[in-house]
Amino acid sequence: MELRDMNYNKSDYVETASGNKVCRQTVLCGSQNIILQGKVIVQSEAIIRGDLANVKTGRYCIISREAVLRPPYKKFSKGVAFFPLTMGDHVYVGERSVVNAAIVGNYVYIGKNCIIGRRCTLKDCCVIEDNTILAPETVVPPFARYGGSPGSQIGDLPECQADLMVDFTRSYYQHFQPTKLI
Amino acid sequence: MYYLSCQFCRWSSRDVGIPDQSTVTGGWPERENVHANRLQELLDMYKAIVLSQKQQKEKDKKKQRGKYLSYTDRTGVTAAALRKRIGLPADLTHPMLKNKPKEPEPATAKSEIDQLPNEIFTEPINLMEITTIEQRLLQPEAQPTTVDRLFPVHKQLSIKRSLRCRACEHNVSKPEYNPSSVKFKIQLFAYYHIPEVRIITVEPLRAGRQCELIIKFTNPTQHQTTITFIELNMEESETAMDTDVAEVTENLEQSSLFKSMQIMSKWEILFQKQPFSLTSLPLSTSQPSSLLSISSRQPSITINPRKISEEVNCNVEVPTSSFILPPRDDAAEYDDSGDTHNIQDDSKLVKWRKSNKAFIKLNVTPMADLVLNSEVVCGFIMQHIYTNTIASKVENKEPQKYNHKVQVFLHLGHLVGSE
Repeated sequence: MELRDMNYNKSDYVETASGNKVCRQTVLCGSQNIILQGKVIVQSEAIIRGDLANVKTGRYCIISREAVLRPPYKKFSKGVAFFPLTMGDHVYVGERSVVNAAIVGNYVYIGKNCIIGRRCTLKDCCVIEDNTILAPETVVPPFARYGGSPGSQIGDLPECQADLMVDFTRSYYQHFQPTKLI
Repeated sequence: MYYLSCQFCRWSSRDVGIPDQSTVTGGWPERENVHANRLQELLDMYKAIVLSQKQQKEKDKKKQRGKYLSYTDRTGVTAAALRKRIGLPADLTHPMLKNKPKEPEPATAKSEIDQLPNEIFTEPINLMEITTIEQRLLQPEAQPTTVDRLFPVHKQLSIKRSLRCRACEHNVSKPEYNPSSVKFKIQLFAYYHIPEVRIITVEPLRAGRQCELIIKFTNPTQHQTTITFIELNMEESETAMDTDVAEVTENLEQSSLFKSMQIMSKWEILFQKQPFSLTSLPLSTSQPSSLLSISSRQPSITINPRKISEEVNCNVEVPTSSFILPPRDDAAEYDDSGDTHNIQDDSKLVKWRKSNKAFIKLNVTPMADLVLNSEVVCGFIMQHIYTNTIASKVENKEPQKYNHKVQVFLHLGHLVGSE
């Protein structure tokens, strides 16, 4: 099934020269530490904590409503340190998911209401199903489908998953259009 | 020193008394299995049984070799009797065979068991302390009943794998060796060869009334293709399939594609695809040498096509005209000119097109006798031109073109009412 057109109010979103569409009702802390590579959609009420550490996303990332991107921390004997959060290209983060990962690879799909524990590594081409809780420091291998609480592997993905994700994020971006004024 | 700890449930290896290790990985002590001796005994017995059966088989083979009639058979003097007469043991068996595998001590049934402890009736059960069935089965040798006796289990190795066609043994999928790479050296999936069909919209479905269905076709290949609709006839296709299977396996280069289609399961939710016939245009007599060598190889397994369990309950008005899908062009994404390639389209069929995509309008009519809320399934055969470039690369000649038919089933949703 082809995606339906998703219309938004043009005054609610800021579109940058590189094609990023960022909602005005988002919380972007430390915006100088946030890098969106282009054609990234950040929807309303999403939170990106750039004040903790650098947050870098690739191209064609979709951060859904009320999702939280929060750089991970690690406890040391002298206090805590935050590490940057890097995200690859063609990544989808579902609604109300909290991403505390250190590295999110390319072509990753994170469902709704997920908690990605701190310092997780999501390799390329993996799927985290809805309502999954990933324990801290989990490594999700490529072509794996993770689900449950604590998240564990529940299936495999087809070898063409990368192309499917490219197709999905591209068509999402194309269907995410401002409401046309008549 | 290191110890294992779970950040999810706060378990640590100190909880169960595993000593700390000086290295991070490896060196963690294996738990001694209490039944190890018994298991080893049983294993040895079964190994011995296998061995003796193998020897028995070989012996039987030897016996069969004597095809010719011997006098002993006629006279009733058997070999065994003869041997007895001259004072040798009657049966000529290999000394190895004589040692029957040693039977281990059989398991004994107990009639008297210990009484249940009194606490079980008086103490309230704390479900947080009792293990689940899954947890117990992960440790089959101990099967602990309480959480505090759980031990870490080994993680299963997950590996990359390459796939081969079961018919022609060609590689259809071969990943790169680098474990973190998601690229492939060989990747022959239907997704990259067969036009993709997607539902865009469908009018509310009413029994016996014609409604409009818009579907999108996408050409994933680098070659122009033409798509024609053919009416789907379920009974006909069943019989046709049987004869076509042989055809397909004969034409081995095609069957590699055939296999890849079987692997593909991406569209299965939406519709089932079935390679149904691969009718090639007349093959040229001068086949490339490498292909000849391939065809001489015997296919190891003949694959029967999957049975289709779809019930079509919706008629499709099959359009008479066909339409062209231009090749896929990755640069088209940045092209805003809206170039339509100057294709003359039947405006009744093609609603809109952009680069390698076309939006097609079909008229569908759910059958009049359908009940409310039943799922509507329609089907048609999509015939597209498949350009085989693999063969043409070997010998610089024109790529071969095939008319390839695919059965497409679309689940359109539920019936909302009748006429």
